[in-house]
Amino acid sequence: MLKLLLFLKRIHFVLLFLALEAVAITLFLHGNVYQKAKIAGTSNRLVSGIYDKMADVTGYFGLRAENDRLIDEVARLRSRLSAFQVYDTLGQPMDSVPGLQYYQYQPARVIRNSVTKRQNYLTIDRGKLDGVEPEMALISEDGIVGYVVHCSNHFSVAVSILNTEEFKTSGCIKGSDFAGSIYWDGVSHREVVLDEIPKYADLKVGDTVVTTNYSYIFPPDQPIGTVRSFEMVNGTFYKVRVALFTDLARVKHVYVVRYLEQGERRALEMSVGNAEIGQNVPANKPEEETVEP
Amino acid sequence: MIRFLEYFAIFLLLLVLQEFVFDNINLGGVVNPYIYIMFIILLPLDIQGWVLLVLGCCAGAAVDFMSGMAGLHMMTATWLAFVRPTVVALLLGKDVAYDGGVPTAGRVGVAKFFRYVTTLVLLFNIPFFILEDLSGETWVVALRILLSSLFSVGIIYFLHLPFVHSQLKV
Repeated sequence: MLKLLLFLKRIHFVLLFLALEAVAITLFLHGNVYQKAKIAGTSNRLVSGIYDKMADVTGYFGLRAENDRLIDEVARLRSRLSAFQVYDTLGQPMDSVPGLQYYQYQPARVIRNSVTKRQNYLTIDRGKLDGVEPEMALISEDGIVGYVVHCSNHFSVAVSILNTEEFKTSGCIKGSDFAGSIYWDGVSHREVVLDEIPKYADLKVGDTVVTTNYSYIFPPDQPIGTVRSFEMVNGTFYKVRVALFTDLARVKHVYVVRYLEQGERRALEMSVGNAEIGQNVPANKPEEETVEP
Repeated sequence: MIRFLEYFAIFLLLLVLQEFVFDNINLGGVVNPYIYIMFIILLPLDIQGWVLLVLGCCAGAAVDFMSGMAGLHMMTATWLAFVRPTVVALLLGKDVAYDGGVPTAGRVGVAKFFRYVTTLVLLFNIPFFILEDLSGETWVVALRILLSSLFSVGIIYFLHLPFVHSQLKV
């Protein structure tokens, strides 16, 4: 017995190391997207306030560039709006016919962001009290940015498009029906991959890549980037490298987009067992709501 | 007790620097220095093994909590604490380890200090960046390890200079 105790004393360093590693490995292997977002959300309460104040200060340094971007966007929106202004024969503008609204936009400020990790998240200064919920899209004026996974009262954590494990959505070449999946392979924070584009697609470097209407989260035809290069894989499909429009390292302002018919559409598609349609819905969603009570 | 409080304050400072400064460094998306491991590197040389392991594990867990990483820092920081005594014995010599004190460039010599820090930074960064990106392209992971380590060693050297000065005064 004494010998055993002496032996244990001699190897206690290794034993303690193995025990601590076992705990860490368990956490590492079982930490799925929701737990990670939850950790990020919890630490949010501690650090988000500080980041919020920091963003107040650092925001001043980018005001000129921010103004230029806003003016550009106003111009772009005005030109889109003009397409909907209908004039009658007397030259008077007619009441626009109220159409169906599918998406609601609200502005938010990015107060925490990373691009150097493999699993990157963003924190925005809008939370449950502002009507933000998990699975709402984040887009900037340049293109898609990510989607919300966790909300506290005043802040939300979103999976960035630069997340090798948790971000996946569908994308297609603008003006064509050839769609594939968009994901980040971690090579550069300015590039993502558009995979599984059928070999019949007529691809050119510089083609614009946009979102499709297969997604539960992103509105269709949102810009993603342009084709930088492509290669044929197994002689069956193309793997395309897409240069992102949005510089994720600099994104400061985003729009949180609510898809008004998300619930109805998911319920319908789930009822026929067609769960794969919404590609960017994580498969391991826990049963209870991820929003904190 | 005073030394414990001193180390605790240093740890908190490193944690804040890591979260608000070094995690926001972005140079082409490949430089990602983890400076908080300086806390493990600079713990007294005569520290007991189990204390070193527990402190290493706690440091990793704290960074995990701050950055939402779920176990990755805890795993690699505990590993770093585990290999530190061996690295100290091999690179700094058993006599230095026996004498105790903070392993600074002033105490062990600049060349030995750089060798010691570089070895530990690599021992942390290699498993960390591989585990963070298991399916990543090899050259990207290698580049991140190399550049992040280079930055880490440089920053750790500059951040530890106050320790050297405080030792000289004593």
